[in-house]
Amino acid sequence: MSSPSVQNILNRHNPLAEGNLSRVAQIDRSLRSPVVFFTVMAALWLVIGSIFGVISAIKLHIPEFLNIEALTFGRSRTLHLNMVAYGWSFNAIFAVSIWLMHRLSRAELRNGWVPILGGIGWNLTLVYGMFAIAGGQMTGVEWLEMPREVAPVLGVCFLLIGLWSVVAFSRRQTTHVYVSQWYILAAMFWLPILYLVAQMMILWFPARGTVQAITNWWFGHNAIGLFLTPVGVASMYYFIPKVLGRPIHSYYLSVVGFWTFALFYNWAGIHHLLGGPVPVWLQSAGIVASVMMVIPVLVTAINFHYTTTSSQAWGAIWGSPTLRFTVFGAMNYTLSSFAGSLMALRDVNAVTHFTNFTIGHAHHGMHAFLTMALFGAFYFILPRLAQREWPSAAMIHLHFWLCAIGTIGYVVVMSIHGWMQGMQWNAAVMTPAQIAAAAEPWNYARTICGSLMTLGHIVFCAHVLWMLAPRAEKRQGPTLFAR
Amino acid sequence: MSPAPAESFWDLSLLGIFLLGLVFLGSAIWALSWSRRSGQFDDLERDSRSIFDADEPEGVVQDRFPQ
Repeated sequence: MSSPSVQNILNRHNPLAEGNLSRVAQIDRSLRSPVVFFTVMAALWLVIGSIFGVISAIKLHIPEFLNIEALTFGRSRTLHLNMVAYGWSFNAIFAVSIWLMHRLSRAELRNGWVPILGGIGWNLTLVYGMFAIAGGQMTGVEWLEMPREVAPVLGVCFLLIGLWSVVAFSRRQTTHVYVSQWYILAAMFWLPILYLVAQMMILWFPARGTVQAITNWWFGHNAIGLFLTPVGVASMYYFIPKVLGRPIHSYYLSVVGFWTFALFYNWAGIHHLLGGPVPVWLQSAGIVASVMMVIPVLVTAINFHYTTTSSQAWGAIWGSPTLRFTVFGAMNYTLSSFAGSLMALRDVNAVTHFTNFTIGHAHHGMHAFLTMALFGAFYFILPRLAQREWPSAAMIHLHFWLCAIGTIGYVVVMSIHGWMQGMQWNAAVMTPAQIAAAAEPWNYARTICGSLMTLGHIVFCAHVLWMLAPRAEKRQGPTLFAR
Repeated sequence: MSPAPAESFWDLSLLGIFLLGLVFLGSAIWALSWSRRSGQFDDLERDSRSIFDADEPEGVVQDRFPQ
């Protein structure tokens, strides 16, 4: 792993010095508008959504905080979930997947206005959906709270956006399909089916009884497992070897990982209903699938571990914003996935179900893994699209530490307290009022950790806007490095 | 007694979902067999390097903190 001089790097990546644009620079230039659009939308939703998260957390220890109808706990917490899920995660994943697919297919983006049109529709529909939730028009089905009329519009917009990853793939200039492309293609194929079936069976032609709950968690868990996670994993499989300049430790294992992931993950959602009035064989199947997820996760963990551990790699990881965030995300992907498999065991679930442990786990997966991995991707992608270096190293450090301390603190606080809650409830020695009172210090800690994450998000969003601002210093070249 | 309309609707839907499941499974099997036929598994050592090119070559760290 050599470290070329700064001048060499700038010369190699300065298209004007060579007289014409390199292939990579041409591809990056064609991707600029849609990817920047989705990134900015994602960053804005992230900040607003996180603020609603903090509002919800404060209400747990100061119930009279912002005591208006539109911001009751049920609504502010739902707004938080929908904004960070459909606003931040989906927009961010649109940006990263479009960029990755075109880069890996060595294809330029054509007709970039189509995904932008889809993106405008997607975000306007979300705004409508959020006002509907704030106005009390929510459905009461977790992960599908927006009124059902948004579904067809979101569906069409998703196709306009997601299709472009497929189009890029069909126009690929390469013979080999890299493992990240498999993950992204699969995600773009799986989500529309999940969304269609869930909408039909829950909101448009409701199935009766517990089938609704089963469909709900089949969708809810798979929206994470079959859409958000694969793109997060695709991003890690690209950026870790790419930035380090060394191929993945065992590419064979990564292929095994993809196919076992595809086989097991879609069964796992039923573990949300353990102990509920659904057939026991179905619960058992969900437990088996959840435990089998150890295989793809272990494969990924082994691969990332051996790719990133070498005599020189650690310095490169710590010295690169992309890798610092991505490797943090990769470590937490392993940890949160193993925790998820354990939480699906009946004996463990009997304690953790309905407690803060589950909420800690959700943030472990969605923030410590996915969000941090996506941040890493943006630190690599944006300078190449904007042709500018990030304006401030200090802001990147601040962003990393606020989010890293916030998210790990949150997971630790919620896991410890969740386990205590579960034991207290199961023992039935304390009254519900005593159990609620005992939660008070933990709720304060939760607010503090959530606030740290939110501050980190504000720093990130401000940094993105500063970098893209018209008056920011413009530098030549598609890729930029240490000055 | 003939089933209520809602019930017959759900019988049909169940069939539709079952067929959708088969399409799902079939697509996975097709994708796996396609990747074998098109040589995706022939030389994994070489293919693991497909992310590198002349612009961003193997052996060169591609990202650093700005200063």
